[in-house]
Amino acid sequence: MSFLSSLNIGGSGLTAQRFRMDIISQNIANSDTAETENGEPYIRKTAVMQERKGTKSFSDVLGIKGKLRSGEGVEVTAVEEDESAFKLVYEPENPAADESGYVRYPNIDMVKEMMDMMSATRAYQADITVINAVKTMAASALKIGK
Amino acid sequence: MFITPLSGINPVAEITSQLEAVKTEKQENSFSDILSDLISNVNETDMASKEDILKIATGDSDDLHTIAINSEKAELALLTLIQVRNKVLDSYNEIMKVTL
Amino acid sequence: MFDLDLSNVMEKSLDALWLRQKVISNNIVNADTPGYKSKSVEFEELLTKALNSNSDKKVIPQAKIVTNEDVAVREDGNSVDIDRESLELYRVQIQYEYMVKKITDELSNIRLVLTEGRG
Repeated sequence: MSFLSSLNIGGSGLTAQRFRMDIISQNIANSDTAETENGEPYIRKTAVMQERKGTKSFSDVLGIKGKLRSGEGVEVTAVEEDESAFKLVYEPENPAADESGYVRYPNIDMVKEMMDMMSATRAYQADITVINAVKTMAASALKIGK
Repeated sequence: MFITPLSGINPVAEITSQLEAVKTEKQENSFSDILSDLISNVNETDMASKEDILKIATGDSDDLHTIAINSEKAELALLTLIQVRNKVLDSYNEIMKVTL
Repeated sequence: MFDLDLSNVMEKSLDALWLRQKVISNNIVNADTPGYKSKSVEFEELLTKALNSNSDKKVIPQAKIVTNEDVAVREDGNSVDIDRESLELYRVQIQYEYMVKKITDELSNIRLVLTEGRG
C-alpha cells in the first residue's frame, strides 16, 4: 500500500488510456504503410484492457481491520493484431503490387481510428475526475477537527 | 447481672466484612478508578495516534479520516485529563485555604 | 468516554464512503474493459435496517461490495454506465464532506465542554 493508494486506481486508468492512444496514433500514422521490414503491410493493432489485479498478500486478501478491498484499476495486458483482411487497391505501377496488380494496404479505417481516439480521450478525462475526487476527499479528511 | 462472654463476638471479622461491603459499593465509581480509567484512555488514544504517524511515515495509509479522528481523540483524552487535574488542584488549594 | 455510539456510526460511515469512492473509481477506469461488471457499495440500507431492528445491542453493519444487477450489459460484456458513475462520484464526495463536518462539529462540542468555552 502506498500513501493515498486510492490515487493508483485513477492513475492506472491514465496509463492505460495513454497507451491505448499511442496504439491508435501508430495505426493512424501507418495507415498507408503497404510494406514494413518483413515485406507485409502494417497490421492494425488494438490494446487489450483488463481489470488490474495486483499481487495480494494474505493480509490484503483478508483486509486489514476487516476492511474490504475494492478493485485495483485497469491495465493493458496485451497488444492484439487485427485479423481482418487487408485492403486491396489496384495499382499496377506500384513496385509492391502482386501479380494481378493489386497492392495490399493496412486494414485501417480512419473514421474508426478517430472514433477510438475520441473515446480514449474522453476516458482519460473521466480518469482525471476520479483523481480529483480522491484529492478533494483527502483534503476534506484533513479538515477534521479544525 | 450478665457479662456476655467475649467468645460470642468476633469483632475483627465483623469490621473487615463491613469494610468489604463498603469497598465493593464504592468500587464502581471511586475517584481513583475514574482517574486510572482516564489515564489508560489517554494512553490508548496516544498509542493509536503514534501508530498512525508511523503509518503515514512508512506510506501505509489510505483512509486519512481514521488517522485524523484518532489524533483528535488523543488530544481530547489528554485535555480531559488535564482539566480533571486542574479541578483536583483547585479543590486542594481551596481546602488548604481553610484555616484551622 | 465520548458518545461512542454516534462517533462509531460516523467513523464507519466515513469508512464506507471511502470504500465507495474506490469502487466507483474502479468502475470508471474500467468503463472500456470487456467483460467488466460494475459494482457498488451497500451501507446505508444495512445501517437503517440495523437501527430499526428490535435487538438491544445494535451492531453497526459492515459495508458490502455488490455487483450491480440493474444495468444494461453491452456487447463486450461491460456493464459500466459512465454517466451514472460520474454522478455517484460527485454524490460520494459531498456525502464525505458532510460527514466530516458532522464529526468536526461533534468534536468541537466536546472540546467546548472540556475547556468550558474559555479556550
